[in-house]
Amino acid sequence: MIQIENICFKYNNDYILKNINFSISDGEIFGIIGKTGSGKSTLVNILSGLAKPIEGEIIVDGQNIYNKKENKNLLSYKISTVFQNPEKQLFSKTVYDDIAFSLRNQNISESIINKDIKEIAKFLNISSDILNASPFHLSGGEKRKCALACALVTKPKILILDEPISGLDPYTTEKFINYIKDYHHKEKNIIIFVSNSANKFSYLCNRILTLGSGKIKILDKPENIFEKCKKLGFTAPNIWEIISLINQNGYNISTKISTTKQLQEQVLKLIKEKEAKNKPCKI
Amino acid sequence: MQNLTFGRYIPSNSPVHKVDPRIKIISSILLFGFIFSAKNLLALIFVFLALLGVVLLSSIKLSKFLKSLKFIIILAFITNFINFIFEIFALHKNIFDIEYYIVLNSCITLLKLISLIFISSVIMYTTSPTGISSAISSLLLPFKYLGLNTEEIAITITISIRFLPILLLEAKNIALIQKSRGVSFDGKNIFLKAKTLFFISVPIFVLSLKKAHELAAAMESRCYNVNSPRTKYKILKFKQEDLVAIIYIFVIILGVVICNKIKI
Repeated sequence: MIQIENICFKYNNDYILKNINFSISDGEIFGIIGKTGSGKSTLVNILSGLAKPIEGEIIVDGQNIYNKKENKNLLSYKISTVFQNPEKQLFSKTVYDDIAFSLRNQNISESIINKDIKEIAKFLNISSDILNASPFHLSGGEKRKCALACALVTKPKILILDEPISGLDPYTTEKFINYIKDYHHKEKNIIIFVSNSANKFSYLCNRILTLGSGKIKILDKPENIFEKCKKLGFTAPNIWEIISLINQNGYNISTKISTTKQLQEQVLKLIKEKEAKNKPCKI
Repeated sequence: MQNLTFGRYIPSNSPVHKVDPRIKIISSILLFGFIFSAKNLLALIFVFLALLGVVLLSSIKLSKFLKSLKFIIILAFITNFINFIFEIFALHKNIFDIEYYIVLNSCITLLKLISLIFISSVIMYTTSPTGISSAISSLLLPFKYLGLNTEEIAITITISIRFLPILLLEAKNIALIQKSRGVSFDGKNIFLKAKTLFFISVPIFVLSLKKAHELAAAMESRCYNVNSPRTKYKILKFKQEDLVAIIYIFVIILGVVICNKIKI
């Protein structure tokens, strides 16, 4: 469990974050949404232990992450962050070395590292050719996958994803979301997802927090957030907008639908029901 | 690395900002020469105070200015300290038997270095990249008749200066990412610290090549041709501020010459 208590952060005498209070339960997928400059990335840095707030505490499993003795341990083993444009972090000769980097920093033996990398490569469908290739020769999507592997290989208790699908094409986005979904199903860890809009990823969240001018605006379930999206100045996911437009005409399609395939099935079902009603009775 | 702003232009309407970039460049070259020729501490203190006056006139907060140069000034201190140690060894002196002139020489070198950093920073903070570009191309104009592509040189220098703060910002972000992967930048071991620089320098090198490629593509897509004749939005003209700047520089140079003749 993570408890964020009264976090404040200042930069050049301006408050970037002010009195942030919330908690995330074990196994929860938590979304943080905010416009550019709302303080999302600062909150990510604070949650990862990379920036120290001027006030407040972050308690993970009863331990303050800014307690010097615990800090390094927590950072290496418990919290992993996939930053915006994570492909920037790659530097090794091979993808294998890059994935092994954080494990080697923890002085884990090579045999365990090899086993863990093979496991994560299998999970993320990273072929051995890619593992032995230079990270600089990979495509954008492959680099993102490699960066995700770097974060997941440490088996973090808390996984923070900062704008994980920005710049990815729809196909790669879908695949990326599926990896995260499967990983969460397998590990039951805390996943914190940060974005500037309510997108496809928002459907995975148990709760979403919206940030504005460094303060919490709303903390609620995704469907309630989507309803207030326009008021808050965000865009709701396209599928949710279509469903709400259909439902305005007296239909009742579930707002929990997140994929086009599910929506197609629901709409076809509605059409069939309507056709069955309008069919003239044969005598 | 949080306060690194070296190379960034800070827009303002101060008298220093208004001075013709060509005069800034020429006077900085002249000052570099006279600073190196300074023989005693008095001359350098005089130059240093005169430069502080320029910083105050530029409407850049002195605290912000010094904060942004902290890293480079520390580097100057370390370089000077190493120089000081080698000087002692070269003279076969005992560390406890240092003569007054060695300390004085060391202080003079340090002040020279800091003054040079001050001058280049003031120019960067108060001159826009386009200003620097047009000043360089204007100053290099005589070389055009010798067959040199002055426009190309000017644009190369301007882009290099312009990209310095962007790359420093990227370095800061990469350092954060690597820190989250378990790299410790806080250790005291100098060899380990040098090793950790590798984790930042490789991605920065790749990134700068990528940025250069993107910039070249963007310039080509706008039909940029270095050889075609171009007009200028802001034509550099001699103004009242330029005359005051020339007099100020002349006073500094005169001050250095006089101070050099004083025997302390």
